[in-house]
Amino acid sequence: MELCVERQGEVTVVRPDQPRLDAMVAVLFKDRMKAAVEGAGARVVLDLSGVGFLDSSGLGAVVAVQRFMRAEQRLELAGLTPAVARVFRLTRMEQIFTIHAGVGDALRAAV
Amino acid sequence: MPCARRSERHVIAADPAAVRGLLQRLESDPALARLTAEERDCTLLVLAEALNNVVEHGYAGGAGWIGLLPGRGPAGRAWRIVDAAGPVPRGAVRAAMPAGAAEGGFGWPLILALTERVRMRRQRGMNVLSLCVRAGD
Repeated sequence: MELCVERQGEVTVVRPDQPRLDAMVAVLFKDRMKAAVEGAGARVVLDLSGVGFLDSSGLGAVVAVQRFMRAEQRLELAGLTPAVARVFRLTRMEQIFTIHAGVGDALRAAV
Repeated sequence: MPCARRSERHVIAADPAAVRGLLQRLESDPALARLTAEERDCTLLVLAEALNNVVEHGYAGGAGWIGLLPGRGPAGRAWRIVDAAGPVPRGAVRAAMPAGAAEGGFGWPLILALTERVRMRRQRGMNVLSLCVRAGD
């Protein structure tokens, strides 16, 4: 599990390089995200458009990222695939994140 | 004529890599291939949560095995999961989603939200979880 981290203006876009965010990589994902947000600005957008499977361990890891963030930072989500969106909806975790249809929408929201 | 095989039986080691490998193999299971995309996604999620529970709580990270067999009910949606871990503690199975920005405790609530039938029993020193994932709209 590696993360592609890209700064686009004021927004840091983070994209996992694997299609599964599950119990096998949840701890590694958290570690990688901790490093990614350390060097990031106020807005961090997690691009999940390449993730087709997310279990509750992966969900917990995404929620946990917020603990690593500085007070002025916030984590936003983009590009949820249907299976991933369903997990956020069923667990009501969609209520605690700003969710964009895609990274482009997230970047436009910054203007 | 297409293969009429209903579904295979699987036995895996109780570890996250083996669970992932099994779920990836199931993606091409003939029984799951006949489900709708929503039913297939929900089935794979329910099985992931149930198998992860056995790995993380049943065997608590120790060595063990888990069996996955077709259950009585609709092919692809009905499954039985068997393991030789200790008995599931009372109170472990709960339906309420955790409140707020929780980082865990979603497993059983997700299983119960996506299934129409779940039965857990202890049989000959093994846990047997029978479940049937809800049919799609």
